[in-house]
Amino acid sequence: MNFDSKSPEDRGSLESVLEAILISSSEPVTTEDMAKVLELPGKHILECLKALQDHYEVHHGFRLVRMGGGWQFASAPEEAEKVARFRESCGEQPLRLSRAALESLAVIAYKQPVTRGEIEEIRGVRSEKVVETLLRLGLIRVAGRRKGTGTPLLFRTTSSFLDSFNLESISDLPSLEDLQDVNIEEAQGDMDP
Amino acid sequence: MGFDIEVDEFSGPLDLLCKLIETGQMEASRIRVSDLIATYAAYLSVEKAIPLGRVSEFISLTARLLLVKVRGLFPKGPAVVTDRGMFNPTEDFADEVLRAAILRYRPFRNASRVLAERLALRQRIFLRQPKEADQPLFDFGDLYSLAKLWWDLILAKDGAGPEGSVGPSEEMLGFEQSEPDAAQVERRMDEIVSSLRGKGPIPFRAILGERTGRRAVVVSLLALLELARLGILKLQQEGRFGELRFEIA
Repeated sequence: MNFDSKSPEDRGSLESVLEAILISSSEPVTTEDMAKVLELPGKHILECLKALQDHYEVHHGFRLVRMGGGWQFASAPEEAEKVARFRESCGEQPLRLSRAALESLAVIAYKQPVTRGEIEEIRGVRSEKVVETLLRLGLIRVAGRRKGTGTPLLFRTTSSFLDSFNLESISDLPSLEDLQDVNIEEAQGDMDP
Repeated sequence: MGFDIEVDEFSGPLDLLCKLIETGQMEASRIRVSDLIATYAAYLSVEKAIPLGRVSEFISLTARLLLVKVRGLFPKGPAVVTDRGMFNPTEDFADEVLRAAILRYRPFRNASRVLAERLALRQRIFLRQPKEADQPLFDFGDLYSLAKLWWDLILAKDGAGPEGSVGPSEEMLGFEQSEPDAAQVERRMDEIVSSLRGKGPIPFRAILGERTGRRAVVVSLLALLELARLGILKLQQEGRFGELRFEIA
């Protein structure tokens, strides 16, 4: 594809192609994949994607968002309640996680691969049911067994976890050192119903 | 065959006993560990097969109990006055252990808050749904996903027959059962009272009758315990590990 980054026609044409590719995919599309298919430098693709992102920022019911390592169209946050109602009417249930589930998930996310025993050691309570629930929800997966006594199962987070929490990667989470300094009572007060 | 009842907070009477002692609601000196071990040995001789995990759990809980008893033997040292105030050396050790546990736990607790915030934000946007959900990937050793895939294949082959005919039970898949509500327990209490009226001691299994599902057992047990607590029912047990029998008080 011939492309002149200074030509408005070329830019408009590229934006149109990118829109078409993005709307055809239900998965995030990476800049690299688009650059490869269109045989254009990644920076031109990125410029146009950012322009599209700005374009959809106002007066539209959807946005171009960056998630899961790629780009994807998503509904506008302002319309969340109505879309949620619609999705629920189609039988889709929003993901609801208890405090215990979130804590266990946090331990797995930061300490992966981790055994259930290690999760319980940190939380100080049994976490068997919670781990089963997280497995069922596809937020974690079994990633082998630890060598040693009992060869316990090891758990890791999944790509579905990254998507559910809008993370590009685990490294997007704040470090444990940073989190150590946050006032725990404040955090608890915020989370408790 | 007895019923195995587990709750999230406690795993069996020994765990509850340890908790009561550790929280100071019961005196460790009142418990004879030798009696506990003798009872457990008798239980082992009655049961034909005991999972290794349960034996190790018993050993671990007995060790917890012994530790509390040993600590109780030591006199509480005199309070020491330092620049930071008054301290008791024994209590300080426990405090130190607790503090270390809290410090280790705190960042994860805070991380769960971060995750909760991210989840709430993420749930404000909706993506286009793929037509069919992808099968989750599984690694070597991921028997859970493999078993789930296996059951799905069987269900697909059998054309997803009548509910409960094929496939893993909710219990196997780890679905959490909803708690039996108060109304259900109250209704069961009425049923039990009317079924026991004018009769002698009835064993638990007979009270259950055909109701052998997990939910039915839990509801019946709660109803019986509540009736006993209210003094409406009397509980009898003939000897150690004997069947529980209930009759109207």
